[in-house]
Amino acid sequence: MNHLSLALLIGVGLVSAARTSAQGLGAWSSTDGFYRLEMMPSVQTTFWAGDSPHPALVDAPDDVFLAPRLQLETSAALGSHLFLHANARWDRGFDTGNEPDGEVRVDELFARWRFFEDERLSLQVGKFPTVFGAWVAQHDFFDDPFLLPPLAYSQVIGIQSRDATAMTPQAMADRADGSAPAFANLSKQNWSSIIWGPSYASGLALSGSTSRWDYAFEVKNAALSSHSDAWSPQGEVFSRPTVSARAGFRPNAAWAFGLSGSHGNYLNEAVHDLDQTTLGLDSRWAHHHWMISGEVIATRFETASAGHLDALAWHLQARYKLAPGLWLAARGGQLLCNSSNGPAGTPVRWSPDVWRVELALGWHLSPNILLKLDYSLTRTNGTFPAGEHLLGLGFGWRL
Amino acid sequence: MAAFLGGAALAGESTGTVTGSVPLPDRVSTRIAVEKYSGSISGKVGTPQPGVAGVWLERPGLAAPASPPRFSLTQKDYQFGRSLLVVPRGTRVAFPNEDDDYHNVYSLSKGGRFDLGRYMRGAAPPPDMLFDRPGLIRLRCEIHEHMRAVILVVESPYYTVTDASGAFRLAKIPPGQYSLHAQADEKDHRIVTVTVSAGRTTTASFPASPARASIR
Repeated sequence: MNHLSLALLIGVGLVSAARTSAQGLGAWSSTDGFYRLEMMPSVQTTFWAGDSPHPALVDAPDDVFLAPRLQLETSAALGSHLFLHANARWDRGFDTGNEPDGEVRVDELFARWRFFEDERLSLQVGKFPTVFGAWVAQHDFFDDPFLLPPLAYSQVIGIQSRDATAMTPQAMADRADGSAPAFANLSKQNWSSIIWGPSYASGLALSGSTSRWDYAFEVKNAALSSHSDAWSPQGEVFSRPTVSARAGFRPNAAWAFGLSGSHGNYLNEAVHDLDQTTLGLDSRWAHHHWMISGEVIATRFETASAGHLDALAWHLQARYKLAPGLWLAARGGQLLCNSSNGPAGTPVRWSPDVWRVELALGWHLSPNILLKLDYSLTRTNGTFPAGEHLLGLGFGWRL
Repeated sequence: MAAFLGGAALAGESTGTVTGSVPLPDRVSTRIAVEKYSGSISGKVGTPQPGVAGVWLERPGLAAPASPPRFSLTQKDYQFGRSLLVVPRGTRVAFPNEDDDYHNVYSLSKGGRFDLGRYMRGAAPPPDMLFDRPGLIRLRCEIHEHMRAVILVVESPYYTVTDASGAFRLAKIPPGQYSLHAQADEKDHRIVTVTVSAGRTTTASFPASPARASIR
């Protein structure tokens, strides 16, 4: 399906769902309720202003940038066991700004079979967010208090997933001493993040929940760090798969803990078999109007000649609801990287250390309309230039 | 258009009864109760309560009772215990959580904005809210998007909720002329005029469309 057809499909869906909303919720159901279909259109538009090159995965060419997004989520249920979900989007790039003229994508498309009447065990096949970590479960615009993902999910690091020659000791040394362009000054599409956003790679997952435990296991076609171009099920999709798993424990409703792991090939070249191994620990506490959560994620990238490249990212965030529909959130975090083996055996900084603090304000004018204001200050150490200040004003509407 | 069909006289009684049926909206009012991403539902999701309408009587000078009864609207099996609740103005409604997971009841409706925050099963006393302005309040759970319910706050001591077929019965109504209201949501508010006679049962029917109508 070409972009024009998909854009038309999204447009027709938006109009028909909006018209249907006059009668209901953009939802259809058979008389006995066995077949159900829902269309949930939404608009999520963010105005960005800040220093270039922008931090995180914002890849906008200018200091100010408008990033509109039209989204059409479609869900269907056949009985109580089979669930289908698709999420089509038009925007100016999955990573804000890398497609300034706009593009249409299907970011999520999966089928889920629930084995029991409760959530004990489900099998899911398709293109869907990774089970790794805790942030992904709340990455939706209307669930995440912030406009930027945490550092581990959004900060570009000195890993090249498409070109092994960029990962030699000499290439890293050149970038570190400034004799070659630092990666932050190049297109972010050429580089990796510890986890690339929600990592909508393709594959299958087994997952489940009980009153105290969550568990999930997935096999996918791309490493957590892989750029979005590698997520679609094309070519040798499972020749070098990535396996990820998560176990969560909730001693009570207030506390939740999670442990995640992932291992798989991150270099998209047939001649190399280099793996990314990642471990994550997350925790959350919530009570009344408070929600506090944090994650620590450590990852290791194998290289052909530069040794192991290790990175560790953590963040701690808190959200407090000031009034009905109004909340304030703050987040702080760091990304720390080790040194690689340089050309003469001397240590070389393959990627800078970064810290970021963010403040966000959210205001639900109604359950369907959300305004978000997000300011972030990002500091990058060493000779790697990067923008520091970024202000985002987001508007969201959903049916 | 007729709403008054009359009924048999019951000797010796000083109040009357109003019965009838409300055409309920033919629409899907709940979302598919499957979470896209894991983490917020750990048990079995119950069947949502059927759509119903609130019915109440109004007339000039008629007010909600000075000491309205306490109401409770539970959350169990990741659903509200009722899809719609009618309460007189000034009522305090408790929202006990009977699930192992958190719930967070809130409303951003005009005249009824509140947010109870996250609370767990057994919170004592259960969080509650005073509803002191007539109107329609839409309830949601911040954590479980599919959970929906409505509270109708009315300026009347005479109110009830239909069954799933739309049938209702209001008993012990003092004789007189009233406006009989039926409402399922913001877009479906029907009003007819009825006359209640002592010892008689008045059968009211509402027009097929939600437009205002009056009879007798």
